[in-house]
Amino acid sequence: MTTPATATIVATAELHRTYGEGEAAVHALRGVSIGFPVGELTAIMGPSGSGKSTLMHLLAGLDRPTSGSVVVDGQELANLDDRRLTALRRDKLGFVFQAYNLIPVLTARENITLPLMLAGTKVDSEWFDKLVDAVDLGDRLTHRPSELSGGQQQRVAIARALISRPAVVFADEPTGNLDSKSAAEVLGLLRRAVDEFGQTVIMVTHDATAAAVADRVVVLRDGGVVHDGVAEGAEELLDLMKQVA
Amino acid sequence: MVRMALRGLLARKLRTALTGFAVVVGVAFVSGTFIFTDTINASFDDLFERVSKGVDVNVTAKQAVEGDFGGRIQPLPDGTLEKVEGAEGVAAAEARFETQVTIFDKEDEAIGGNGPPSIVFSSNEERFDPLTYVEGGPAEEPGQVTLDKATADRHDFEVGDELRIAGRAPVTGYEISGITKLGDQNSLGIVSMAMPLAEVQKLAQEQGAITEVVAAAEGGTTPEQLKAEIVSALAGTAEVRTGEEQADKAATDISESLGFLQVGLLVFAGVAVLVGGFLIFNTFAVTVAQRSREFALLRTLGASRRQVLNSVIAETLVIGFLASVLGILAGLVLAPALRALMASFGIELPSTGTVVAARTIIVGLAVGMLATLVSGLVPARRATQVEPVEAMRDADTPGARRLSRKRLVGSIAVIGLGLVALLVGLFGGADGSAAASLLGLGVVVMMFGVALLAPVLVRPLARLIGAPLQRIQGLPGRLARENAERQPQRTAITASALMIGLALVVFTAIFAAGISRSVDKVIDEQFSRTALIVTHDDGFSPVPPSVAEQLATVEGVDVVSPMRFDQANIEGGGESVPVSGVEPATISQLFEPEIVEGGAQILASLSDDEVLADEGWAESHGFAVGDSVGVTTPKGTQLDYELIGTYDNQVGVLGEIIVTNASMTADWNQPDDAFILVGGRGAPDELQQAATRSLAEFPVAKSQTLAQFKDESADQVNQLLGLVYALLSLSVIVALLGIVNTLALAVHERTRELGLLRAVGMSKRQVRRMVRAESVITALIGAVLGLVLGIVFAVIVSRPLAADGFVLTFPVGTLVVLAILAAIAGVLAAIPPARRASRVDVLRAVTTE
Repeated sequence: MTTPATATIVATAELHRTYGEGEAAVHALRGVSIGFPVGELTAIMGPSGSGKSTLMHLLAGLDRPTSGSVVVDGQELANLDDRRLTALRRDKLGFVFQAYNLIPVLTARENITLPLMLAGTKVDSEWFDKLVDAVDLGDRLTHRPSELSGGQQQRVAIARALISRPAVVFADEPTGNLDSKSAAEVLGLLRRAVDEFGQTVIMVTHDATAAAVADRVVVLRDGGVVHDGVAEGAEELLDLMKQVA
Repeated sequence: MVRMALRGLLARKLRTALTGFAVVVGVAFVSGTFIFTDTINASFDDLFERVSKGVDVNVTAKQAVEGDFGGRIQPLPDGTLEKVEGAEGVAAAEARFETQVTIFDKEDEAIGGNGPPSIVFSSNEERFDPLTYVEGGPAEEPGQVTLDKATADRHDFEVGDELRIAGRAPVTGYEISGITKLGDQNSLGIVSMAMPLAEVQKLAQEQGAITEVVAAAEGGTTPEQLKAEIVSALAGTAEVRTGEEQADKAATDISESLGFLQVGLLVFAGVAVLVGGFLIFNTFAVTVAQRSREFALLRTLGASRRQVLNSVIAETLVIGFLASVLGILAGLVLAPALRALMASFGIELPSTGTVVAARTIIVGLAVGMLATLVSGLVPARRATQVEPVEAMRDADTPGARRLSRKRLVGSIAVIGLGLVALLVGLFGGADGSAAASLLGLGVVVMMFGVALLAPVLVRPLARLIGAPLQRIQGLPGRLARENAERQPQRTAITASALMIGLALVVFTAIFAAGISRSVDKVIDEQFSRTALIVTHDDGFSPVPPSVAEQLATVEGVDVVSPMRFDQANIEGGGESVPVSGVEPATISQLFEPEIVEGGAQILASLSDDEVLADEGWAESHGFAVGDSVGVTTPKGTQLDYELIGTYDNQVGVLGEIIVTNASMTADWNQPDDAFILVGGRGAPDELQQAATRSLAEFPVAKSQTLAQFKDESADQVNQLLGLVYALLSLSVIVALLGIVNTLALAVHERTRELGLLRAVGMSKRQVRRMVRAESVITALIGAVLGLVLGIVFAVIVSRPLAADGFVLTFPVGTLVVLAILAAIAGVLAAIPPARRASRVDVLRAVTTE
C-alpha cells in the first residue's frame, strides 16, 4: 500500500469459476483480472447469468475460484483456511444483501453490533452513534427486524456492514427489494460511506439508477468484463446494458 | 396425492427415519413384552405337561388359604397313599415330597442368593419319571442326588462329584448320580434336584410327610374314571385332579403371577409409545409448517382441503406401518434382552423357542399405526388450513404463533382433571386395579396438561437456564436462548417428551429413597434394643427353629426372639391376610411396635387364644378390641381368637394380625422362623461374628447387625430402582432422539440465517456452540419440568402411605445428578445437528432464489 488514494484493496487475477463438469459445465467466470482501489464505490453490472454475483462471492471469500487468485487487503484468499477466512470476513469485510438477512431474534442494535459480538470486541460507542445517526435509526434500536420496514431493515444491514470499519463493503443488489424512495436512501448511505467515512464499496446491481451513484462501473457479460469505466448518468448506463443484454 | 406423499417420504429420508424410529422403539417394547411373556408361558406349559408324564390322577392337600407367598405346601393326611393304592383301577401310585434347600458350589459358596430357588424333589419310579439323564442315572440310593444340567454346567459339576446341600438339617454331602434334562430344557428356571423320598424328608426334617400322590390307571380306565374312584376313596380329605387338570392349573397359576410382569412391562412400553407420540407430533408439525408453500401450491393447482389432509394422513400411515413392522421384528430381539435384564436382577425364567402369537403382531401394528395417526392428526389438519395465496409469499421461516389465553386456561383445566383422577384413585376407595388405573390415567392426563402448558413456561425457563450460558458463551449462548424461545410450542413438546421419562425416574427415585428411609426409621425406633437380625440367606424363606436354639447358646447373647410369618383367611377380614407370629415371653425386650390400644405390655401378655390387630385394618374391617376374630389357617383349622389390642403397623414389618408362635406351630403348621431378633451385650459387630461362627452348621441363616440389615434393604430397593431405570431408559432415548430431530429441523429451517452468521464472521465452532446451547436449554427445560412433576407425583402418591410409616425424603444428590445427566444428554443430542449447522453453505444464505 502506498498512498491511500491509489492503493488497491481487492484484486483478482485470471479468475475462473466453473460449475459442474464436462458437457454440463457452466463457466460463470472466464478469466477476470480486475482491481478495486480504496475509497471508491464500484458498481458491478450485467444481465442475469453474466457472472456478477459469482464474482462478488469470490471477492468476498464466500466461494472458492476454480483457478486464479483473489487478494483482499494483501491476503491471498486461496491460502486461508476456513477459520482465517471467517476471521477475515468478520474483521475486514462488510456485507449488505438484497434480502437484508438480519437475525430475527436480535434487536436492531444487536444486529448492528453482531460482527463485534462474534469477535468478542468492544463496541466503539462514538462510531456506533455516528453510524446510527447516519442511518437514522435512533428510535428503532430496540426493535426486532419484524417490526421494521424493508428500508429500515436495509439501513440496519448497512450499519452492520460498517460497524467494524471494514476494508471493503460488499453490497449484493442492496436495492432489489425496496421501493424507489427507500432505495434512494440506501444508495445515498452507501455514497456517504465512501465520501464521508472513506469506505470502499463494491456493489452488484442490475439497477441502472443504483449504478449511477457509483464512481466506476464494471459490466460483465458471459463471465468476462465488457466495460470498465467511469460511471455516466443512468441514461448512458441503460444504453450500455441494452448493448450487452 | 398418495403417491406424492410417498415420494415426499423418500425425499426426506432422515426425517422419516427419525420419526419412524420413535414408533419402532415403542412397538418393539410392546411386542417384545408379549413375545417374552408368551414364551415364558409356553415354556411353563411345556414343562408342566412333561412333569405330568405317566400321571393320570394327582392328589394334593387342600389349601385352605390360597396365598401367593409365605404359605407352605401343606402335607397330605396320613394314609393318603394307601387309600389311593386301594382305589379301584389304580395300576401304580407314588408318594412325592419336595423341599427347598440351599446348595453350595465347589468353592463352598451358597448358590442362588436372591436368584431362583433350589428345590429337591423325591425321585420317581420309572413310569412317572419325566427326566432324561444326560449322564449317569436316577438317584436310587441314600446319599445320591441328581442335578439339572443348567446348574451342573454353570458350576462345573459332574457325575460322581459331591454336592453339599443344606435343608432344615445341617449341611450334608451327596454324590451326584446323574445330570438331568426335562425334555430339551436344561433349566426349569429353578435349581432342581432329586433323591429318594425318605432322603428328601430327612433333609426337611419331616419324616413321613408327603405333599403329593400320583396314580396311573389300569388299562381300560380313563383318567376321569380313576379320578372319580380316588375322590370317593379319599372322601374329601384331599384335592384330586386328573394329570391334565393339574398341569393346566399349575400353568394357569404361573401365568397369573406372570400377568403382573406383563402389565408392568406394558406400562413401560406405553411410556415409550407416549414419548414417541410427542416426537411424531413435533416432526409432523414442523414438516407441515415448512411445507406450507408446497401445500399452498397444491391448493392453487386445485387440490381440495380433503386431498391435502389425505396426503398428510397417508404419510403418517405409511410411516406407522413400516415402523410397526420393524418394531415387531425388533421385538424379537428385545424379548431375549428383557429376559437377560430380568435374569441380571435375579429373576430367572425358562424359555423354549420363541412364541410370536397373532395377537402380538396385531397389537403391535395397531399400537404403532394408531400412535402415528393420532400424533399426526393435528398437524395434518393444520396443513389443510394453508391458504392458496401463501404460495405466492416469500418463504420466510414460520413465525411463532401467539399463545392464547385459551391455551393457558385449557391446560390448567387438563392438569386439574388429571389431578382429580389421581386423587380419586388414591383416596376414592376404589379397589386395587381400578385405583391403579385411575392413578395411571391421572398421571398421563397431568403430563398432557403440563405439555400443553409448557409453551407458556418455555420463555421464563429458557431465560432462567439461558442466563448462565449467555454469560459463559456470549453471543452464541444468547442466540441459543432466543432460538429456544422462538417456537415455544416446538421446544415445549420436545422438552415434554424428555419430561415424561424424567418425571417417572424422579418419582421412582424419591419413592425408593423414601422406602429406604422409612425402613431405617422403623428399625431405629422400634428395634433399638435388638442387636442382630437373623434371616434366611435369600431374605424371605423361613429358617428352621434349630437356628434360634443355636443362637441362644452364643456367648454374649441374652435374649432370642423369633418372629414368624404366614397367612390366614379371616371371617369378615378378607382372604390371605398376612399374619405374624411372636414369642410373648421375649418379644417385648427387643421389639417395641407402636401400640394403639391395650397398653405397652400387651405383646408380652398375648396368649395362644388371643390376637392383636393392625389399627387401620381392624377399623376398616369393623373389628374392635374384645371382638372375636374367626380365623381359618392354611392347614384348614378354624379358630376363634379374642382381639385384645391394636398396633400401628409400619412399613409392613408386621402382618395385619399377630398371634403367638405357639399358635403358629399348632394351628398354622408353621414351625419355621421368618426372622429372629437377637439381643446381647457388647459391640454388635463382634456379636454378629460370634453368631455367624456358631451358625456354621446352618449356612442358610444370615445374621446381620441393624446397620447391615439397613444397608441390605437399601440395596434391594436400589436394585429394583435399577430395573426401573433400565426400563425407562428406552423412553429417555426416544426423547433425546426427539431433541436431535427438532434441532435438525430447526437447522434446516434456519439455513439462511446460519449462512448469514457465518458470512458476517461467526466461526464454525461458535455455530456448533450455539446449537449445543439450544439443545442443553431444551433438555434442561425438560429436566426442570420432569423434576417438578416427579416431585409432585411423589408427594401426592405418598400421602396415603404416610400412615403406614412412609417417610418422604428427597434424594437431592440423585436429583442434581439427573439434571446434570440431562444437560450432558442435551450436549450429545446436539452433536449431529451442530455438525450440520456448522457445515451450512454460506452462499446458500446470501443468494436470493
